Amino acid sequence: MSDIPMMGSSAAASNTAHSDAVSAFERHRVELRASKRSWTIFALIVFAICLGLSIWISNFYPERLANGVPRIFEYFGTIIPELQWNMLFEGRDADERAVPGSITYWYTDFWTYATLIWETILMAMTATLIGAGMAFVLSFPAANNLAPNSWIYWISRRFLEICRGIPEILLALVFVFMIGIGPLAGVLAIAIHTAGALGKLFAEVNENASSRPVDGITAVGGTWPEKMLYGVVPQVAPNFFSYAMLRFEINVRASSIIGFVGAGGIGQELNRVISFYSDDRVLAVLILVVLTVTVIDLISERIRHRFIGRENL
Amino acid sequence: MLTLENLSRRFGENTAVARANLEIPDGQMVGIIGRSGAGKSTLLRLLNRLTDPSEGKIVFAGSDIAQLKGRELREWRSDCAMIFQQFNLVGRLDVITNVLTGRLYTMPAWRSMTQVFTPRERAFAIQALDRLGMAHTALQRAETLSGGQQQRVAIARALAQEPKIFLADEPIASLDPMNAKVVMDALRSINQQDGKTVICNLHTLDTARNYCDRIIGMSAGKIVFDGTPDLLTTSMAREIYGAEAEDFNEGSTSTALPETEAVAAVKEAAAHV
Repeated sequence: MSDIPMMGSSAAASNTAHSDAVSAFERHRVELRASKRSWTIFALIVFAICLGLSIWISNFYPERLANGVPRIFEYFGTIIPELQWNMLFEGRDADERAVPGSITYWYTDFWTYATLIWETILMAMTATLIGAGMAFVLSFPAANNLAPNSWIYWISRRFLEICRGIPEILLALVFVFMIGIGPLAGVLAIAIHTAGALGKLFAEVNENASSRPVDGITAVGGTWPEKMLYGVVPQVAPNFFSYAMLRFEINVRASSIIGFVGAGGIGQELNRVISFYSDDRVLAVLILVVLTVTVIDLISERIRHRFIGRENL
Repeated sequence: MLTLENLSRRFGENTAVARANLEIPDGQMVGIIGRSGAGKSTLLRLLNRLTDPSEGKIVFAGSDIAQLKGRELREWRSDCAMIFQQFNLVGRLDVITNVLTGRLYTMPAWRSMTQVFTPRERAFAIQALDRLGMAHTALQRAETLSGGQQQRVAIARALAQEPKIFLADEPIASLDPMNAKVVMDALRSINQQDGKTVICNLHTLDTARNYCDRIIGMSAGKIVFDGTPDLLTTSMAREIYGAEAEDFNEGSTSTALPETEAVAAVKEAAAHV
């Protein structure tokens, strides 16, 4: 039927041809595995050395850890509120005073905390919007398949690296000195870090975008911004959205500690109660922070999954 | 008149197009044939400057296209529409917006960047779609369409450019024979009814013979044949497609359907839709 040698062909010539191909393949496979094995062994040795060094430098010894564990509980002892079961839900008395041992007494400053947590969430939102906006604009020149020339590519890449290379808390310190204590300093600090981190992710998404639509827009006589807007953005928008939401979750956590240096939000209050009182107020704030972060995470995860799910239909 | 003078393009060691000289008068339908890798696609991409030439001239209406930059280059691209093998539509945009991108060159930047199109532009785009029988899909995403439908949308986009020249790079290579016929008929009608120049890469000889006024054969980057279809002999075709094909015949490059009863029935049904 055909002159192509097939499995089970009775011709002796084609059988030797087969065994040649098989032995060549086996030889090649053994070589490949051997070279892979020596690489694995090398990597393991390097890893072991690094692990040993880091244990030595950080004094990560079990007995130190064992000695430290009780002290954690000591600290928790000082910040646990003295609640009494029979008074737990007592309201304020006739003189507007809360009864010691009640939740009302423990959370006397609840509305201060709530206001500050709201401020924290708003800070995270604003910072994410500003940062994502900067990242969006910079992600096109920072993608090596889209950048109009290598100069612009190099500059935008380095700029994004600087933005995400400086820790938020350091940026916040600088801004507090510049424009004073308050949430604006925190928003700016987080926005800049967000621009750097998201910009890199966005640029990587852009690098995976198909060049065909871009070619199409080039061929109709589109300018560079038109190529990006019509050829690339429709492809990458769902991924951009998903990454920005993820970043929002991260920024809620970031803006709740950035207040430690006076940059607004609940962190400022947390710092105050830790430094001045170190009593049950610390735990009161901590519980609210953890609750907020968890709830925001859950909501944003829902939105992201729903969005991705709809996209894949 | 489009004139190519010693047009060459090299990729490293490899010469994709070698010293091409051509004169294409306005209103001609030209088919470029050759094996894959013969330089057909590069030649077409050179013409609308998706690829820059290494040397040589492309002259149209007295100006050297090979030297254009910036706004003038974009003007040339809008005058010289390209239809791609893989359609190159923006899959996640709706069909009408894809067609409207054909108007980008004529729009002020603020409108193109805010995606504001005038009712006139929309009407123009819908008419272009309607001519290809695709107006009913205007609000669908382009990626939901079949290959043949996407290619028709791509031709509508090219029409929306109101170009002087249509370039088509293997427009039917990804399509089934029925859709290929629809697309080639559309290109032929653009050539005959609108009087526009159409330059079309094809890898099947019979399509080129059926549709084109003039056939250009390329082999290893060089133009080895240039003439009317009846001048293209079997021995010439054998040279274009490579000498090793001893048992070469035209049918072996064909993707057209042989005229059987079933095919006639399908065509009959298609004509009534």
